[in-house]
Amino acid sequence: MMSSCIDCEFEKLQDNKESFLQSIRVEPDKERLRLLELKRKYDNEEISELDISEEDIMKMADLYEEEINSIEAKTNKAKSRIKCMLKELKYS
Amino acid sequence: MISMEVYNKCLEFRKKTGRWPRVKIVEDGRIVYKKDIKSNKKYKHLLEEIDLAYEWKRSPERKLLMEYKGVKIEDIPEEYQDMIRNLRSFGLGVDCKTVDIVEEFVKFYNIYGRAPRRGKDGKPSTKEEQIEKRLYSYWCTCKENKLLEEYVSMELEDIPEEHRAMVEKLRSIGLGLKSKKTTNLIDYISFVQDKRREPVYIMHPKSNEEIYERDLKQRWRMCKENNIYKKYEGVLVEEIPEEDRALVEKIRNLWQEVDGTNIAEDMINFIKKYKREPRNINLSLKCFERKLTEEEQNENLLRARWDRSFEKQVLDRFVGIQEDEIPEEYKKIVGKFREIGLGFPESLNTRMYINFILENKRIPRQVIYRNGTKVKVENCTTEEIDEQAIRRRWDISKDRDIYERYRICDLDDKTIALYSNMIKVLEEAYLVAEAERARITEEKQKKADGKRKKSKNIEGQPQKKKKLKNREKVSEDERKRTEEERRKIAEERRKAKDERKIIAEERRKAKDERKKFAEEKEKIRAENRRKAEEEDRAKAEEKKIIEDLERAKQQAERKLKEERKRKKEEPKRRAIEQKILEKLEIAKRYSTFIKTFNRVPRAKIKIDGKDVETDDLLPNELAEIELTREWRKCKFLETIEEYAGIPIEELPEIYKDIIKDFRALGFGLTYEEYAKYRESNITAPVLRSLKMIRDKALKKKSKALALEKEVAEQLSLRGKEQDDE
Repeated sequence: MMSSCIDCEFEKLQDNKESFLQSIRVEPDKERLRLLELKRKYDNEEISELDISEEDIMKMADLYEEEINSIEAKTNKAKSRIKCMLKELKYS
Repeated sequence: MISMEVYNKCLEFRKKTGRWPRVKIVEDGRIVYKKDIKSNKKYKHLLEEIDLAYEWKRSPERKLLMEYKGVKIEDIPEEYQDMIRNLRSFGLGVDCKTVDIVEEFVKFYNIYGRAPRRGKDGKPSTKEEQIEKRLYSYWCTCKENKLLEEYVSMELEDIPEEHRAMVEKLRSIGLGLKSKKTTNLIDYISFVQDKRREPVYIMHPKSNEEIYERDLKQRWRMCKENNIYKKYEGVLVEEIPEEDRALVEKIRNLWQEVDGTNIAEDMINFIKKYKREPRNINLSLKCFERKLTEEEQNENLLRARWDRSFEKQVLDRFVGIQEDEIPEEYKKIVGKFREIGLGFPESLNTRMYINFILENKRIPRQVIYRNGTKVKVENCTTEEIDEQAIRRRWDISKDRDIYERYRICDLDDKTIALYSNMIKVLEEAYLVAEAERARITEEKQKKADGKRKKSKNIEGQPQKKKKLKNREKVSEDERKRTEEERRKIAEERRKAKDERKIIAEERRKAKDERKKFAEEKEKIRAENRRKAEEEDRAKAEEKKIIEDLERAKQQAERKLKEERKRKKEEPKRRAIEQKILEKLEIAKRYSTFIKTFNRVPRAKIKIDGKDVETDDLLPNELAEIELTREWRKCKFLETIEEYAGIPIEELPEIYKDIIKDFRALGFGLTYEEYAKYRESNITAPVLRSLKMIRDKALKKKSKALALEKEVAEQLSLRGKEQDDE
């Protein structure tokens, strides 16, 4: 009797754990991965524009724009840091 | 619409300083120019003002203001109305056409109770004075003023309707009621008739009447009528041109009415009675010391009457002219007065002085001695008093001064010619007096000699008489001694006088010599200066010629150098040109390839992710790879990126077409251009352009990071140094 209760409790615990793991798992965005792979290939000139569909071109353009924006943001941050440092350098 | 930048700047300046920027700045009583401001720290604060003033002078706003000068504010374009209204309120760009002169005039009259005046000399100090002066100048030039004068004698009903209101308004404040042309004459006549004298310029008028008299005097002095009257002084009415005759006759009649017609008789009587001309006693100090007696008043009046009489004018006109040269119609007047000693260049007293010398063969005495003592005035006879008066008047006379100047040769030819008669007669009279004096001295000498002889003859007589004779001899000796002493003193005095004369002469000579020497010195100095100037000029010219030559030489050298350089660089240039052409050729081929195959030529051919060997490649694939290689080698992509963001029209001519082609294919676009591009194209060029923009951004980022690293290193180094310190 006692052992059946313990088994029952153990099963419950197992189920909870699995549901928890299930809930926190991040599913990879397959579409994005595909597009990233496509972009990489295009960058390395493994494929040409002709090999990409118009729909994918649009999506890739979005990816490029995202990348450009992040690069520019980083550049701007670097610029502002340089400015601060130059000021510091000037008044030191 | 013009920019109002300068206007706004000037407005700000006005707010700050309360005045419009001045071009002509006067400081410490002199005009300060820009060079003074630059050279002198004292005027540094004026630099901004003068700069602004010059800027304003050249500004389009000022041009506009001047363009609309005289235009009503309603007729000016709306966008400039505020500005011009504002500027006009400061007195800029305003003339008599711009303001409603009648309105302004009436306004001024209502405030001050008088018409605007020209104001005192010099700069008006207050704003009111400035306004008044400006209003006065407008009034002088405006058409309303002329119209008012034109309608002066017309009734309001007869005036044209368009001017009636204006005339009525101005007449209401007392303007345009009298004609300006005749006002002065009328005022003058009425004053003379009323006061029976001429108006006088009163230096410090105390009452309104005196102010009026002073103004009238000034007005009359400057007016046309007075000039005409003066022009025909001493001319008979019949000889005056018809247009001026009435005016001159009117003024002469006026004075005849006031002074009477018997001036000549009165003058003759006076001269006979007092043996002198009447004096202008007002000019002497007497009038300040006490009131004039009736006799003096009459004399004064007679003098004034005589001065303005027609006879005096005639005499003045023919002064110094011989009687036979005078026209017949004037001869009678001149002859009548010349008989009593008037109408000559010299005065009546001078003539009397000469007559006295000729009659009495001596000069009139200053002081009269009788029996060796000075006679007091009370004890003098009438003749003696007259004699003294003649002498006194002569001593202070102008004629004596002229004669003295003639003697020391300090007289101009014109005066000599005029006074030649007087000088001649005077010299003759002096000669007569001198001769008489010599004769008397000789007589005295003879008398003295005769007495001496007589005394010698008496020596042989009896003893009784001897004592008497001895006494006489003593007195005679004493007299002789005294005479001798006197003679000695006189001799000494004469000698001293001669010495003084000699000294004066020497001094004069020395002075002349010094003057001559100074003049010569000055001449030499001027000559030296001229020579130095000439030398300087010659030097400057020489310098200029040398400079020109050097410049020409340098220019020739430079040209030669340039030519050589050009020749030297010619092959290089040609090679560069060739290179550019090749580059363009490759770029054209590259763009044609993209257009044809709708993709970028590949650098490698891959099958299933693996590179295909060169031997296995097809000829077109080989050509494609070769094209990519050439494209990368020629670095035309860098050129395209260099011109990114610049409009096609501004690109160099040779690149225009090709870069335009490449931009159409998505090369060399900025992010903004790409965004526009994406709206219309969603094909391959989008990716191409995005890839290029991304690469560019990456390059920028890496540069920024490298710089950041460098700066951080510098900062850390500096920090370390400071820590060490």
